[in-house]
Amino acid sequence: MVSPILIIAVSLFMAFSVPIWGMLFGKKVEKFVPLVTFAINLYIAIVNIPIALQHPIVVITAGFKPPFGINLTIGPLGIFLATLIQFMGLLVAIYVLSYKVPEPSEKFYMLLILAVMGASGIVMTGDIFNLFVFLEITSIASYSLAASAKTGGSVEGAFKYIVLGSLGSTLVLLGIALLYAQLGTLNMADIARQIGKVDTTVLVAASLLFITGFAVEAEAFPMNGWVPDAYTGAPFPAVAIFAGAIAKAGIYGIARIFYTIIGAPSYWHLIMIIGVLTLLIGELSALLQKDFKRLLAYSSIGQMGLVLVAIGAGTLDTIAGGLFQAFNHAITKGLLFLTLGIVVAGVGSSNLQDLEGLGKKKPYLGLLFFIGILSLIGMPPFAGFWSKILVVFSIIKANYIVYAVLILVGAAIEVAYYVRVLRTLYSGSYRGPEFSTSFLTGLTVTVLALVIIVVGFYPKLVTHFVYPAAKELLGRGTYIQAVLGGKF
Amino acid sequence: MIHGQIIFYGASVALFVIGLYAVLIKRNLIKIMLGLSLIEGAVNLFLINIGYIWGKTAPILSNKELLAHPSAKAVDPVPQALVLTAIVIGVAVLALALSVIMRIYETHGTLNVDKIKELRW
Repeated sequence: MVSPILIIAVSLFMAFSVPIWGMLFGKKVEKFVPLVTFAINLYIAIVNIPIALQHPIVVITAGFKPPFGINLTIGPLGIFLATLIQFMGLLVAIYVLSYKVPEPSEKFYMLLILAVMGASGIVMTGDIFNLFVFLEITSIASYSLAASAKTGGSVEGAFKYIVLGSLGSTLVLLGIALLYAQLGTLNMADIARQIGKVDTTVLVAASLLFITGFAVEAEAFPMNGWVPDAYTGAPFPAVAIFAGAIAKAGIYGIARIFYTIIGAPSYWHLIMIIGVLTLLIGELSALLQKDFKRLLAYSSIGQMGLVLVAIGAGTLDTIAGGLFQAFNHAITKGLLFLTLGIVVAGVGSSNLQDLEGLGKKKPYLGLLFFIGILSLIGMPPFAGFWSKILVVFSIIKANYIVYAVLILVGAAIEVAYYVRVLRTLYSGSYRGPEFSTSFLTGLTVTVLALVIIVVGFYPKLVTHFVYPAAKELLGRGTYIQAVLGGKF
Repeated sequence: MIHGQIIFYGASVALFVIGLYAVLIKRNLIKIMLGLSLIEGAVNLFLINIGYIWGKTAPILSNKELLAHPSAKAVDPVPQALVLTAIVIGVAVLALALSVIMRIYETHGTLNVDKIKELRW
């Protein structure tokens, strides 16, 4: 067995040694560092999948047994998201090999590794203060990634992200302080065990602080004002990491705190309300957009809203559906953003008007957009169909008819604007400059499209992981017992 | 309990409110960042207060007197460790934000939020 803590150790070592590799073996080596890092990490995550599916892995650091010291607790949910995050990281690392990243490039690679490391740290840690530290590492790395294009829009988006992000993490810290004041422990399993002792008023305040704080990373209302600006300004590989890795870590934070730590169904409804607001606001704003990148950013908000509604509904099927939707969101948005990155590198603009007729001129890139968009709006035989159908049916079965109707309204709006995008891509004639696609960027997006199609035909490949993960969230006793031992 | 320590709780609430006011109302980017720093300071002060017990001292175990009765003489050291970490993180965020503000001034020529409108929807 390879200890999952190596994912964090390897990432940290590689991230800070990027300039050293450059000095030792020449500048050209630097861009391979993220690739090597994520390949090692993905291997570590994959070999740990069968172990974590059977029983949560508890890694004890520095010899302090829980509830003392800092430990990693990786159950099915943690390993599923860690693998997904590292997979997205690996694909983006292949993509940046032939993508012109903003200078200084070694710092861009460093920040890429740190952002992915922080996101995987969030999904693996078993200590609530450690969760805050990883949240801050991810945030600081992604603030810099958002600003790295250095254009006026990029720094402006980054500043909005910094203001909301640091306000959000301060609120999380305040929530942690409230819980610590009542219980005197920071271990998540130990807090979960004693949560009944916490005063109800304090618990309500803490849960509001936590959901507001994590809403920044999870792109949820009302903390998502940074998303459209930062997404529009940031370079495409960074955007793929925002949607594929960091948003997933935010969802994990909310799910872990509300299910495992608080564990009371009356609080879960809060997630649903926030989710449905996020969904409708995101989709309605996307309807008005003229820029494809900005449209995708708003659509990303809408999708995360759907994930939150499903996770908040609180039955096994809805949570599994929500996690499936989160997986699809990472893969599909990764595909669309990275393909758009290839197009923008050639055309020089992501404005929908300038992309007119592109699907006819470049049939393969058009096909990739086509696959991604059909999967997003939930058409068979693509992956998005299964997650959407699972979410809608399970929410109806859980007796949340109003929410199901609102989800369908959101889906209808989504269809409306994506059909407009498809019509633009396939009508008129392309007037922009000629460009060619390099092999490696093409390979990356092809892999993502293949994942969508394969999962579309074999949804079991994902449901095999999301059901144990949903069970882990609902069965908090197993989690507590795995960390602290004894009976609960 | 009532004496003294309540002042620190009151101070942390006041700092939080002042910081929030600056973030929400001020139009200058640097003042917004100052507000965020105040909020961070407020949370740090709150954390320190949780672990602090009036009249006790830091648990440095080279002190013989303290070793004999650790729980009677020492305060909870965990919040202090947390605050040290939080301060370091806060400094990193502040430095990054200020460098982004410098870049905004270079590209937009102003620090007023109302005049920076490139990306509004």
